[in-house]
Amino acid sequence: MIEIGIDVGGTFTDVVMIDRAAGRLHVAKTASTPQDQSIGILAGLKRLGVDPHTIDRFTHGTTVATNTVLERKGARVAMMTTAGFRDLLEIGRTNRTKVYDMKLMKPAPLVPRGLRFEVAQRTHVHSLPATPPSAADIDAALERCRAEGVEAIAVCYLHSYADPSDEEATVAAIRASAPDIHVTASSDVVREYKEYERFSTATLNAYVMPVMARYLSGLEGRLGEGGYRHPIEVMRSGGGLMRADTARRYPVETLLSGPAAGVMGALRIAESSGTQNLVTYDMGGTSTDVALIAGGQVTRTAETRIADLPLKTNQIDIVTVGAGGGSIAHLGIAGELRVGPESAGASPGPACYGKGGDKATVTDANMVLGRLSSSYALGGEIKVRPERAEAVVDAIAKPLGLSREAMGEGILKLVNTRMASAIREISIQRGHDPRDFALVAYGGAGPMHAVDLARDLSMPRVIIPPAPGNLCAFGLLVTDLAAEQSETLLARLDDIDAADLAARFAALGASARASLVADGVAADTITLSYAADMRYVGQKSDIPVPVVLESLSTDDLADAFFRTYAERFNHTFRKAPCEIVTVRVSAQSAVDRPDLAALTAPEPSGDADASGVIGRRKVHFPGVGWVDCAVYDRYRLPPGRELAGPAIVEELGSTSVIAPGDVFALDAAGNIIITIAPEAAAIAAEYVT
Amino acid sequence: MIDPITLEVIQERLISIVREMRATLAHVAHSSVLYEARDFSCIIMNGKGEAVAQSADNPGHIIPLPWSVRVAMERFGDDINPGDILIINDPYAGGTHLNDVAIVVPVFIGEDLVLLPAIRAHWADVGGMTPGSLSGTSTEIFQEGVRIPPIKIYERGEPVSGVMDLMFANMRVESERRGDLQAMIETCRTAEARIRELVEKFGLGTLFEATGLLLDRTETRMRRLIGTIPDGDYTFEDYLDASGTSDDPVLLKTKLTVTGDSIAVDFTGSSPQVKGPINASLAVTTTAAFAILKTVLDPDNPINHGAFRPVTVTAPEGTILNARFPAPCGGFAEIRRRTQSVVMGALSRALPKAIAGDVKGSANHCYVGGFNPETGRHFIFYEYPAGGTGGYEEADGSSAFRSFDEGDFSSIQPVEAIENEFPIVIERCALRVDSGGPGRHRGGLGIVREARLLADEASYSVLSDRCVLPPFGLHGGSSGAPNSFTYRRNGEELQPGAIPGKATGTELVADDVVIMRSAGGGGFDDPLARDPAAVALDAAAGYITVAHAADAYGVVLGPDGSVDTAATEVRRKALEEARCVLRVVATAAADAGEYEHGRRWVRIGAASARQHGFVDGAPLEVVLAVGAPLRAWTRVDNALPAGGVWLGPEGSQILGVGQGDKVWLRSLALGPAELRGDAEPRKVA
Repeated sequence: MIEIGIDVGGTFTDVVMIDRAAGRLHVAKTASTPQDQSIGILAGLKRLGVDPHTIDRFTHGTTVATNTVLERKGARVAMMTTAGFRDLLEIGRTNRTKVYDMKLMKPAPLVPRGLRFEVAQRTHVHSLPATPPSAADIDAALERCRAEGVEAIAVCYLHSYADPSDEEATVAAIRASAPDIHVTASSDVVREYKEYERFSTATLNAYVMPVMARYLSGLEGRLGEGGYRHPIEVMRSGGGLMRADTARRYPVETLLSGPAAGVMGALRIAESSGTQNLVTYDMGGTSTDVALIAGGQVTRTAETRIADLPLKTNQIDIVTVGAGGGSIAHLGIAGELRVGPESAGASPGPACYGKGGDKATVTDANMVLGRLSSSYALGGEIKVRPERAEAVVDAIAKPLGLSREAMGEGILKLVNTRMASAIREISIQRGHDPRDFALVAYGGAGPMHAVDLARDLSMPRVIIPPAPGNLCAFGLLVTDLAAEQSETLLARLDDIDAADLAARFAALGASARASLVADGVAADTITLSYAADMRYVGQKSDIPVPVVLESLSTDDLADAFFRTYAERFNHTFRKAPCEIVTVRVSAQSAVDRPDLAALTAPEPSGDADASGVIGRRKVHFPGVGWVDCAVYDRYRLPPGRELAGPAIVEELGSTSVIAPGDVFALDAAGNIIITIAPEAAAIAAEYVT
Repeated sequence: MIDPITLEVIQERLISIVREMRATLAHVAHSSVLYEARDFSCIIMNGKGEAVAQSADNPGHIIPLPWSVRVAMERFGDDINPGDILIINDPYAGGTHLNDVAIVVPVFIGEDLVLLPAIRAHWADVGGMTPGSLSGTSTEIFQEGVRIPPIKIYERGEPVSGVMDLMFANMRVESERRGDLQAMIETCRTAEARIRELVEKFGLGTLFEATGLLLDRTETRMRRLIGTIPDGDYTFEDYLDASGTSDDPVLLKTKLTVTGDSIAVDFTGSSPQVKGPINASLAVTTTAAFAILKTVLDPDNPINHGAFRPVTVTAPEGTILNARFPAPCGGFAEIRRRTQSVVMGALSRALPKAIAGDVKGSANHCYVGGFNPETGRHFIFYEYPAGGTGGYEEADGSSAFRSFDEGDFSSIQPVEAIENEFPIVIERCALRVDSGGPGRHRGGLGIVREARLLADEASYSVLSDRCVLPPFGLHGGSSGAPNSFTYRRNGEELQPGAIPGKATGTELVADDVVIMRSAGGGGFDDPLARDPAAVALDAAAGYITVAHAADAYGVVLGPDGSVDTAATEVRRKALEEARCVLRVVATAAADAGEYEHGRRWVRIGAASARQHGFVDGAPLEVVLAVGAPLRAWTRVDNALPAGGVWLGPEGSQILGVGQGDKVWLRSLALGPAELRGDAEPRKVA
């Protein structure tokens, strides 16, 4: 059985292939092809020598929707909405993301005012007569849509979370008379109250629908020509897979596709090494994503933004900071050192890549400290120019009277401090102690910074998975098919009957199950999990509380809420009236996960005494100075043997740095497990040369 | 000597502690004004009461916080000990209004006072004559709640329960207040733990040295940036609509003196303190002046006390900008906003491209409260709608967008949340057509929101401003439409209260519709210079009406919405020629006064007045090609030569004009609201 996981990022397309029969894992990296991502995908398959007709399962993490939104290159979208409210989408909640900026521009809505059509329609929660949607208004709007070349329509009525029938009727009317126009109903995308967030999500969905449909059809066509006969599976932001047809209907659920796959990959990898508490740390060229997993449970959120537009789909709670290998270091007007958020990106890139970059980046700092190989980078594709890194680092070191090394170290320290703040935010600020967590480092630059970062946060252990540069692609292959359903309930717990609530959950569960079955999943493989978003009466923000459907009682639910709340906010247990805002169900069908340990286990080396050392070089460590350091080839590390830092471990596309005092070993699953020495111990004088 | 890298790391760690404080308090707070509206701010200060690190949110009360702390530290001197917690809300001691209560937790390592985390948070009630403590009709501070001078509520780790009991006994919803105080203390304790970690990591000496250097460095930054402003005096003045107890406008005047790398801001000449709650402390005034300088000069960098060192702010005691006991201060935020406007106006001549048109200029508090028969509980529906932002050199302003001095939280609630919670139906939520100030770059549009009452009765209160005198445009750009809070009963639109924007407890009955309209932003540069294609696009989208395109921009649109180029040329020429452009006359009758009844008067010859329709007492603005316009009222003066205008010596100086210079007088009497067709006849209820 051949399984393929492909994650298309901004710069690279990562491919992972699992060959179950041979029990092996293969990886490859090719340049992404933004004009049509499927070209890069086919190139990646070719590089691995895989013929589409031999593939049994094709899983995919895509940035098609994400890039479409970020670059504002989506479809021409119209909106039909309740009369009196067409400006809601432009007014939003009126909030601004930055104070002290008179010239800050509010992001334009995805639907221009001229394409936001009002339909005489009103649903009420009060006992007032409802107005059904006006057929004449819908027809008139459709006529304008045709004239304006509209490709997709979002139907957004007030209170549709409570009663979606008006939206459904309007969608049916549009489909009947304009079958070529994509259409989406806000209640179909998000069955929750708060109209602006729901409408925004629906228009995002409509905006990317035609693009995603074209893309998936193109990809299916290319794979089909090669003989691939199964449905494509696409990663959703919430950390589950969906079939291509579902992705066509809910492309908005792929906005965090790649990063979600990375988190799932990190989770499974860590599990393979016996760890359930971890912080995932994905450091790329321009940004770093971190997420927290406690007890094997991924933290999720339903309120985020993309390009400053609200997005209310269930997704993994990933915090992103604008710090990566390409982040630029510069001096402010009072001589203060700043790193990022500007990034040299892939082009011109760091100075040491010799592609025209002339500003000091984090990668250049790593270069002048000897942490990066001075011969090749990025898996051997780029011949690096260390002297350029030295020049740009010197240029900012001199005005501050610092040595090259001190500046290089300083840049790393600053960027690490920023990333550490992000990890504090998802751990300490949410009631978790980082000392109880392992740091799983991946992405191009993660393994280079992980040890320092972990030390700063007093995290005891770093895990560097096999092929850390390809973890997102790998994650695709260890993720379950999943469907999520949610509904606004908005009722005080005292007013809720437990049996009614259980029935509501059961109905929602049945619907989630049905959507997976529609995706071709066997019903008996599906498991359901339930949660309620709850808050104290009078509060405006809520937290998810896991629900056990058997023996559901409102008292237990209240206690579970009080406990969760107290835990999360380090707050005293407070018994006060609470309410349920939203009920959620997640349906999952576990894939037949490959035996990771077996797949990624290091190849037995012919030479039992092999040290794995392929050379030595001088590397500069903070507080220690230049150290003569062993350089290991990851593929030749002796499994199980405990080795001492300082050390550099090189592999295709990634370099791991292990500091003096730290010890590391390759575990049975091929992970590098690094035990972090406390700060003081790392600065042992004996290493100073 | 500490290295520059460690310095940066310490700064990032300090700021991250403040961020954690914000997140913590938002989660553990007991009242919605804290966890939803985020009406609080967090700070870390050094032993001298200087801000070392603070969050970027809510400049309104974060910047004055160190004042309170300095007052407290002066009061206690050496008698501040480990385990003490101080509390203060006194506006005359560096506070804002009584609802903003600050606590300070001194962190000691051994005998050394290291740093002081502090929080100022808006308590939903601190006693006084009305629920919520804030009233537009208070005349002395005793009516606004419990005044707390700097006192200790914890001494050496032990709560001073007597003091707390006395304090809480005088506030409404005592349990919620106690909860908020507890949440603030817990939050400061979290910060204390992080500060101890910092000391452990870096050592006390390094931390002290670093905080000192960080302040010095920010000072250097600020001085270099101030150095880019040409030396000189920059003056300006503007008004609040009314004090609340009278409908006379309230004058604010400023003079900025830039000398090399420092700035002195002097508010001499501003109105004496008023009887109503529109008064503020010097801390608030300083905050406003600083907020503008920060916004214009250095928007991206972290703030600490160093940034204040090059700036001196003075306002005579007993004025609205430096109020004396017992003036009520509940509406200080209105003063802060207008103070920002005058400083902006002054800077608009020094840095014409750095400033945007004026904004809504008010907190726009709007409350509808009553009994909800569906739930059997009382309700308060509270919103503070954002308006449009001003046009600027590079682009149009944004519509329905919080202004630069407000943080990342919403000003209106979801319709679906309102209707689930209150006996209210929102009938319309729309952009306010034609409300953006015309200019080469248009101001953003305000909002119109209409809320129908379903309950039998409710009460309607408003605390707003810029309901009479609209947000100004810049460099020839026109004003945005002013704020407006009214209600409709039986098809007739009525104004609650006698003064626009000021109402306390106007009674509503079932089916009354509350209409909130927020201001549009001021326009930037001459509207006749706006690209006709941009005007046509605005009209096509419905941001402006076709009539407004012709009247305000001189752009004539054809039936298909395209620009009629020839007609536009003619129209623009006619509009330009019709402008009232007069020559400055330096002398006037001996008894001519520049200010009377708290406002500025300009004298116009009778013939010019007749020709351009200016009548005695009508408000107008004196417009120049560069800078903010000077607002004044008309005095028709038969003695002036034809085509002449007398601005008075100060008026001439503000605008930088002299005898014989041309100025453009533009009517404010017509008022942008009327011009733009959305003002319906108003009656006083």
